[in-house]
Amino acid sequence: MEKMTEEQVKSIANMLRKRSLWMIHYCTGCGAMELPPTMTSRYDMERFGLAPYVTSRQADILLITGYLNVKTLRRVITVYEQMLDPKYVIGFGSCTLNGGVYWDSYAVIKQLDRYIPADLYIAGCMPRPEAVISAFRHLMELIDSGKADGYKRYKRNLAYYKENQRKVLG
Amino acid sequence: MSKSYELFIGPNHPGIPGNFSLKIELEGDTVISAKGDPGYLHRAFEKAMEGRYYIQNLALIPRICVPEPDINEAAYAMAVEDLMGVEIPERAKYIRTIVLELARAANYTFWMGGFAGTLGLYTLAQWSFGDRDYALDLFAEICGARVYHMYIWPGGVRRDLPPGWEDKLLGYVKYMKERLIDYDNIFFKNVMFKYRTKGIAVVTKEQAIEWGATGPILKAAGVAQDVRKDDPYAAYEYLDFEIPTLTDGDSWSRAMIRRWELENSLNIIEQAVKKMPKKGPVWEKMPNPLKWYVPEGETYAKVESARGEHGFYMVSDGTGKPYRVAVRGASHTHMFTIAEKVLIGQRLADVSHILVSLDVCPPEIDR
Amino acid sequence: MMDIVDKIKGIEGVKVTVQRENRIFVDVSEDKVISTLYNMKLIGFHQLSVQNVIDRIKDNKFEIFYVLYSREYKINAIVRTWIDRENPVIKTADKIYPSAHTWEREISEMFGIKVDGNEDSGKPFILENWKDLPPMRKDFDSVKYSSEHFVFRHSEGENE
Repeated sequence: MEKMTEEQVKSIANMLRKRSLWMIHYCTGCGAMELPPTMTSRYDMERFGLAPYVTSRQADILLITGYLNVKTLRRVITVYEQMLDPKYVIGFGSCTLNGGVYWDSYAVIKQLDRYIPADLYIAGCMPRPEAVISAFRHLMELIDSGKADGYKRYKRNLAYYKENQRKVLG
Repeated sequence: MSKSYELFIGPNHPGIPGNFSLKIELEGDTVISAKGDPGYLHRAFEKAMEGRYYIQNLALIPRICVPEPDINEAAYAMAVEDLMGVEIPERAKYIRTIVLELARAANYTFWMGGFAGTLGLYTLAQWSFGDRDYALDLFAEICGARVYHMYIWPGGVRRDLPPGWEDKLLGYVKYMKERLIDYDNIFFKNVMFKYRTKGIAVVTKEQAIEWGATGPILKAAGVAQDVRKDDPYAAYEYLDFEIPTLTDGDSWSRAMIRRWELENSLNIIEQAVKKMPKKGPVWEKMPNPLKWYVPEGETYAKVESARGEHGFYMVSDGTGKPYRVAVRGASHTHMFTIAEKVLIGQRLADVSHILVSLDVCPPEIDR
Repeated sequence: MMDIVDKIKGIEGVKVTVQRENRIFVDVSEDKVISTLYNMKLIGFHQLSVQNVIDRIKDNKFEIFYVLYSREYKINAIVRTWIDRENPVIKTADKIYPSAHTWEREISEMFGIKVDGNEDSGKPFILENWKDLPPMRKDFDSVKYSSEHFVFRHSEGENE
């Protein structure tokens, strides 16, 4: 039998990877309110192979549900760094994009991707479960095509991220 | 020789009701001290509200408490109306009552699922989160949003109910009443539920009054205090309902009180739909948003949320923006004054269900 | 309603205003707050709903208010007092109302008011690593702070 090239191995790994994504159970903001309906009987995200999981070491997806307070950001960065590669970050809601309604608040960060790399954003406040599921489907496509490379960017631009983190966390 | 150790529960923990952290000291698996650490959801609402016009604040206030946003809208609207001396139309009062009770029912169904989840009974969680969605569908129909409605605003409600909505609402009430029997059979009559919750985390009548408890905690301890009865707002004075009370004050009683309150809410919705004037204005005209000057003064407006008394202390200096708004969330007292004391002596496995049974809602604490 | 107003008027050094039905404002001087709260509890105001501060920067004062509630009379009484904005200190009310303890922690952090007798006053509560002015004061500019500390998103592709 012919030996597989590295490309082929990667594409098979990505194909398998996208079908079993575990999402860490961390309600960072009010967007966590729309997750129980997404997880349970009505929208049932488990049919896509997605499930909530309790520890950061075993999780694949970090879902930032809404605004990020500076105090939470510190924990989110720890959680993100504890997670093993490959790992994906989804910014949920307008607050992760540009601060949303909290644009003038002294406690809320304005752009998630300055501190940790985001693979995908879901706009809106608050996004409906359909939007969440569609984002997961989109993430699967990104993983399949190898475009969801946030964790690689984090390693490559570590100095940039660390400097931004230090600036806001003090 | 016994040795104690410290344990962090949260902020990243499936048993914690939201983004909140708890530092507990344990001996074996018995809690000897508990200390809450809030601030993970602090968004500086009170500061942000000072910098915005009254109408802009409408977008902010529902976000103070996520599971039941409508109480914030109602308390805010009542505070502004009180300062401006506005009386809202009759139909708007009934619509407010219906919306508030629907939100309460949705919150209790959500709470039930969470509570059953912390006890390991996930079937109820699957059912009740699914059933809560029917209430959210009704909200989506009247205002376009599932979670944050911004439907109640100063002067009444934003727009009239869509045609045929009342029938759908009554259909929901009928469905929920049938579902309650199922809930009883799978959860509230379940022996395991009784074993896990009877006699756990008791708050006696004296303690509840002394510590300043409100809502289901106080009712479970045997005191019938409810803002809807004591200081009626919206259309509650025209409606007939009872405040359920129990005497034990334990986790079981609090769960049962919430179950009865859910039934109560459904009954109130039915009554309100029957008694509501079929036609009429739903909004008392308010000034142009940019020239919306509220007379100088201070007021305290309170409503009964699913957790207890929820209030807005509002100070106006006669300009278009509020001078100061202080929010009173019931969880603030329930977490720091009650939960920290009640958790002592309990077992580690019970900590998360005690927190849920006291219904600690972190966004309300941090604001 | 009126008999309870008379009872409150009996407390030394208070100024009582009836705003509307079921709502009374009780104004006291700084040194009489704790004794007034104690007497209010004896009268039957068993519950402290909220305690917080208003920054009256024009008068150079902090207004401290306690919203009390009595189930028996179904009345909200609001006890108010004013203290100086320079070196603000209040006395704790947590021996009278246990829930005041946490409100005072919040006040001391958000306004920089020292609470005498409350061992948690001055310790970090909601904020972490806060080095600026106490944020709820009127002279703290939230917009300025956030534009200095955070970067706003302006256009596509600006980052990296």
